[in-house]
Amino acid sequence: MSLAAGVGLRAPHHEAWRSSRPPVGWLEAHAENYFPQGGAQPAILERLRADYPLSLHGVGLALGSVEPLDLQHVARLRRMIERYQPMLVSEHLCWGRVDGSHLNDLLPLPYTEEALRHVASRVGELQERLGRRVLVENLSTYLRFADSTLEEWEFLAALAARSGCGLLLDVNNVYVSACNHGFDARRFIAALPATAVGEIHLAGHDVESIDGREIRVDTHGSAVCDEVWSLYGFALGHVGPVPTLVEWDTDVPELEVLVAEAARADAVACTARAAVA
Amino acid sequence: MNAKTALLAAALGSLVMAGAQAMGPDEKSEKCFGIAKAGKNDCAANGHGCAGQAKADADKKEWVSVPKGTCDKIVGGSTTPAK
Amino acid sequence: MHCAGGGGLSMAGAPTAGLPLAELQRRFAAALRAPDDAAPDATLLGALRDDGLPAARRLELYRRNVQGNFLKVLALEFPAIERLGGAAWFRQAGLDFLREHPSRSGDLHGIGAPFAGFLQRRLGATPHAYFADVAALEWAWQECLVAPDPDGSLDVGELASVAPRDVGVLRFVPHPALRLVGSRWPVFTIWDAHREPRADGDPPTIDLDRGGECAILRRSGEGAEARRCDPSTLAWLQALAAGQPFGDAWEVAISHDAGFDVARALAEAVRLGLFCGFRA
Repeated sequence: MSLAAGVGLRAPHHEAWRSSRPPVGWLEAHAENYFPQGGAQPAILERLRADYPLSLHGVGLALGSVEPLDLQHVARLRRMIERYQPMLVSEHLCWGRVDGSHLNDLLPLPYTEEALRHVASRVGELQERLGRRVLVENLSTYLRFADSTLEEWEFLAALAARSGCGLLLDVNNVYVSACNHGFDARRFIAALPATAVGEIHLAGHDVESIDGREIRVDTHGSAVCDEVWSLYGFALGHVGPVPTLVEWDTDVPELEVLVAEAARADAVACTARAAVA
Repeated sequence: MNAKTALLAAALGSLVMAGAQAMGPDEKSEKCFGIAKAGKNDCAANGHGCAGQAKADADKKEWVSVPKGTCDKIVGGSTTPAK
Repeated sequence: MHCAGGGGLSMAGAPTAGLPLAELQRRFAAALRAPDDAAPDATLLGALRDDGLPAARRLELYRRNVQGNFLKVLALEFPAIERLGGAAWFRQAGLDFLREHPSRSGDLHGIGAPFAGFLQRRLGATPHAYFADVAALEWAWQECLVAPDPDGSLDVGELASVAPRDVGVLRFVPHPALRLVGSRWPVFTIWDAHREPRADGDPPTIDLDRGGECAILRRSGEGAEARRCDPSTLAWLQALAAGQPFGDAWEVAISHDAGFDVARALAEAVRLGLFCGFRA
C-alpha cells in the first residue's frame, strides 16, 4: 500500500481540524479516547473519518498481562471498529493490568518462551473476538529482564508467526531501546518478517541523564531525530512502502509542524523507492 | 380534576402551545461553557512524557492539613480557623 | 559512557531464573504503586538487569511515569481543586487517592469518579470540607462532557396527546448528559473562579457564608454548559431525572418553595434540552 504519511489525531488540534483539511495521508486515533459515545470527541472523529483513512490505535488492552483479557474493553474496541471502519487496528506488546487494577502504562515483558506463548494466545483471542487482524507495536524500554532468552526482534517475529498478527514497527522505539540496551537497531529491523510489518511509527524522544548515564526516554515530545529518519529509510528498504505515522503527544506543536514532519516522511519514502527501483 | 392536576395540565398545555414558536435563548442566567479539550488516554499512551518528572520529597501523609493554593481567597464560614 | 550490552543472562546470583510471569507482573506492579520511601523488592530487582545503571533506578523511571500519567489525568479532571489546593498539595492528595482507588480500566475516563467522596472522607471535618463539593461539580462536568448522545429528542407536539387526567403520571426521560449539583456552599462561584488560570491575576475573594448554590449541567452543542438554578428547580429536576412522575416531582419542588412555578420550570427545562423523551 502506498499512502502518504499520516499524523496522530490529538485533542490540541481539534480546533484546527474543525476548519482545515491538511494534506496528510491518513489519521490515527487512540481508541480509548473515543470510548465515551457522546460529546465533542466522537463527533470530530466521525467528521474526519469521512475525509481521511483512519487507524485505531489501542493503548489500554495490556495484551501481555497474565490475567484474562478485559472483555468489556475488547467489546468497546469492537464497537468502535464497527462504527468507524478503520483501515488498521493496533495495540502494544506490553502488560499493565494486575489483579483487576490497571497501571495505564506500557510496561515491558521478559522475552521468554512463557511470555511468548502467553502473548501469542492473547493476540489470537483478540483477533478472533474482533474478527480481524491486529498489528502489535514494539515499545521503548528502559530495562531488561534477567530471564529473557530471546531478543526482542526474535520475540516479535515469533509472535507474528504464531498468532498471525501484523507488526507495527515503531522506528523511534527501536532506536530508543537500541541506545538504552546497546543493540544494533538495524539488526532489529532486518530480523523482522518484512511481510508482517503493516505500519510504521515515527516520533521524537528526549535524552535524560540518570546517575551520569544517558537514558533515552520516549516522550513523543519533539521532532523526529536524524538517526531515526535514517533508520526509517533503512526500514522502508526492508519492508517496502507501508503506512507511516508521525506521532507527537507531549508539548504538542501547531498542526502545521506535524504536517511538515509527515511531508518529510513522504520525502524519505520517495528516496527509498527510488533506491529500490 | 383537582387543582394539582389542573395546574400540571396547564403547564404542559402552555408548553405545547409555545412549542410551535421558537423558544428564545435566555441571556440573563449565569452560565459557562466548555468542550472536551484533551484525550485522557494520550499521556498513558505511547509516550513516557511523565518519566522525567521530579518526584516529591517524600510522601506526606498529613497532606490534608496543608492546602496552599488559591483557597486562601475563600473566606468565611468554617474556613476561618476554629479556635 | 556508551551503551554496553551488559553481562550474560540471569547469572547474577539471585534465585531469579524462572520467576513466573504472573509473579513478576505482580511484584513489578507493586513496586510501581509503592510510596517513595518503600523498601525495594529484592526478588524483583534480582529479575532485572543492571546493565550499567542499577535496576532500581530503571524501575524508578517507570514508577515516576505511572505516577505522572495518573496525576496528569486527575489534574485535567479537577483543575479547580488543583488550583485551590496548590500543585504540591494536589500531588500528595492525588497519590494518596490513587493508592486507595487504583485505576480499574485501560480507559482513563473513569479514574476521577471516586475523588469527591475521597475528599469528603479526608476533608469533611476540616475547614476545607467544601473541596469535596467543588470536586463533585468538576466530576459532574467531566461526565457531562462525554456522556452519550441521546437516541432521540423530546417531541413537544406529542405531549398534546397526553390526557389531562394522566399528566400527573407522566415521566420525562432525562438527557444522558444531564447532571445536577447542589451544595450548601457557593460551589458554582468557586468553581467558575478557579477552574481556569486567570489572566487578571488572583481569583476574587469568595465568602463561604454567601449561601449554597445549585447548578444544572447539560450538553450544549458538542460541549457542556453549566448554569445556576434555584434549590426548588434542582429538587424538581432531581426527582424527574430519578424517574419520578411529573406530579410527584411537583410535590417535591413545592416542599422547597411553595411558589415554585412549574409552567416556567418546564418550559425552561425543555428549552435547555434536559429531556430527550417522555413516557405517558
